[in-house]
Amino acid sequence: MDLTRMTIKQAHYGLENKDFTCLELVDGFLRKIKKRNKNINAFITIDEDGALQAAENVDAKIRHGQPVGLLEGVPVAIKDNILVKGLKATAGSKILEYYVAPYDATAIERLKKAGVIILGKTNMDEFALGGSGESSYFGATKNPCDEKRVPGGSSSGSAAAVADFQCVAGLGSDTGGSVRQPAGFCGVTGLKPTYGRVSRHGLIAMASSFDQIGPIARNVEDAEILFNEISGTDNFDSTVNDFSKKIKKKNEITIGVPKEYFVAGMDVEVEQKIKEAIAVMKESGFNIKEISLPHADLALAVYYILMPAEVSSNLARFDGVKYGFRAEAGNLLEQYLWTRSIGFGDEAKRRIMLGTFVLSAGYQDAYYKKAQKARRLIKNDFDAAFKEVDAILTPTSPTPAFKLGEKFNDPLTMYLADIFTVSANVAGIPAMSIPAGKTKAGLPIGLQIMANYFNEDLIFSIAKKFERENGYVN
Amino acid sequence: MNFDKEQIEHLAKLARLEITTAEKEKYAEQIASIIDYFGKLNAIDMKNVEPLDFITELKNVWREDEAAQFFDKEKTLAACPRTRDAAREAPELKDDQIVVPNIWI
Repeated sequence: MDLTRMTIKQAHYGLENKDFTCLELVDGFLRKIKKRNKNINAFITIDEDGALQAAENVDAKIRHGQPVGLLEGVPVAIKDNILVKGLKATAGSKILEYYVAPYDATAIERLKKAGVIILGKTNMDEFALGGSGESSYFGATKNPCDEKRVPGGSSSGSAAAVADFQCVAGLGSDTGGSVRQPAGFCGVTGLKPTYGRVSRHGLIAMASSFDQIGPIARNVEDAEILFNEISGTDNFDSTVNDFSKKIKKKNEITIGVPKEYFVAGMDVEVEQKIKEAIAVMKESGFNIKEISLPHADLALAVYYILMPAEVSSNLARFDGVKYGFRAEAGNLLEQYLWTRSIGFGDEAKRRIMLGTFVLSAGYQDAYYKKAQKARRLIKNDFDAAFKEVDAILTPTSPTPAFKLGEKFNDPLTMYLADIFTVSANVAGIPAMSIPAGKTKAGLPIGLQIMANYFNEDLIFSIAKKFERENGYVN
Repeated sequence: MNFDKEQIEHLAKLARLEITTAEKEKYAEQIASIIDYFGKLNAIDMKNVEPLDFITELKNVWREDEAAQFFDKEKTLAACPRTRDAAREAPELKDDQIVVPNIWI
C-alpha cells in the first residue's frame, strides 16, 4: 500500500481504523525522501530519529485505545527559516549552516501540540530572497514535474516535497509570493494568510511588514486544516490579530477579474487556462465582474524598494557575534565585513545593498517615502475593489515554471516573475494559489484567489468549489 | 541612473559587506537597472498621499512586562557545537558577556 498519497483526513482515518501504523506511515515518507532527495533536493535536514520516535508515541496511544486528533501522526515538512527546537535552522544560508534552533516557532508549537510529525526542514532560497529555489547555499531544488525546471521560491523545498509526495503537507513563508508561486509551479495549493493572522515568532525575519507563514498542501482542505491550527493571537507577536468573526457570510459571491493583470507578456497557455477557470467559476454560480486595480503596475517597484529596506535591517543581526558563521579577524570591523561577505550569497548581498541605498541619506524621500505612499495607493485600490466584489481572481504567475539557470543571471527579470503575487503582500490581504490545470508540456498552472482582510474562509470555500467543479488536479 | 563603483563601495561600507572589484562592477550594473525600474513611481502624483507605514490597524498592543526564564543557559550553550572550526563555534563568553575582537583597527 502506498501510504504517501494521503490527505490529512485519509491519514487520520487510516490510523484510527488501524489500516496502517503511524510508524509505517512515517517510514513510507522517510524512504520516499531518501530515494528522491538526490534528485529533487527538497530537504536540508531529515529528522529520521525524531520522526520515528514521534510515530512510535502515536502508535502507543492508538494501541491503548486513546483517541487521536485530526493532525496527530501526520507527517509534514517545514521550511528551514521556521525554527524547530533542536533541529538546524539554516534559512538556506552558509551563515546559519550549523545554527540549531533553541526554541520552537509559535506555529510549530501549535502543530506539535496537535501531534503533527516533522519529517525535516526544507530547502529554500537564502533568507527567503528568491523566486526560483536556485539561491540556496545547499544547492537548487528541482521541480518534481520537470527536473530541469525550477520549483519556484522561496519555499522551494516545501512545495517540491508536497508535490512529490514526500510529506502530507508543509509550511512555507510568503513575503512577495514565496508560498503561492512555488505552489503554482509545482501544481499544489499554497496560502498566504492575511498579514497578522499567523504569528511570526520563530520565523527568521526577511521583511517584517510583508512576511507571513503559510501552509502548502495537495488540496484546499489540508491547507485549511493547517491554517486553522497555526493562526491566532500570540504573546510573542504584537502584529497578530483576528477580526474574522466580524465578517458576515454572504450567499451570493462576486469574483472580480482585474483587467490590469491580463496584459501582454503573459504566457499564452497560462492566459487560456485562467480564462477557462473563470468560465468554470461562472458556471459554479459565482458572479464574475471585470474590475480595475489602477495602481497594479506599481506594486513590484513598491515591493522591491520597501522589502530590501526591511531586509537590510533584518539581516544586520548576522555579524558573527552571537550566533552563526564567524570569520576569524583581528578587529571587530573586519569580523563584520568578512563574516557577512563569506556567509551571505549573491542575492542576499544585492538586496541588502539595494535596501541600504533606498534608506540612505539623500535618497530616502525619492525612493523609500515614495514607495510608502504608493503602498497606500495600492491598498486603497483593494479597499475600493472589495466594495464591488468579494474576491479577486488572477493567474499566480505570468508563466509556468522556467528552466534552471534561465533567469538566474538577470535579477530584474527574476523579480518580474513576482508581478502577480506581490500586491497581496503589499496590501496585506490573504491570497491562495490552487492548481488550474497544466500546459501541453505538462507544467502546472496556478490560479490565485485574493480576498479582503481576514476572509480566508471565503477563499477556502471558493477554492473548494473550484476543486470540485474542475476535477482534482494534482 | 548611473551607478558607479564609488556608490557601490559606499553602500557596501554602510552594509558592512566586503565586495571584490569584479563584483563591484556587476552589482553596480544590476542595481542601476533595478533602480531605473523604480522610475515608474515618478509617473504618479503622490503629493497628497499619506505614506502607509503599517498595515494592520492595531495600536498600542501591550502585555505585562514580566521577566521569565526563556532559556536554560547551560542547556543552550551545551547545544552549541564546540569545535576548533570558527564556523561552528559558539561565541566565547566571559562573565556572561560575549567576547568580540578589538574594535581598534
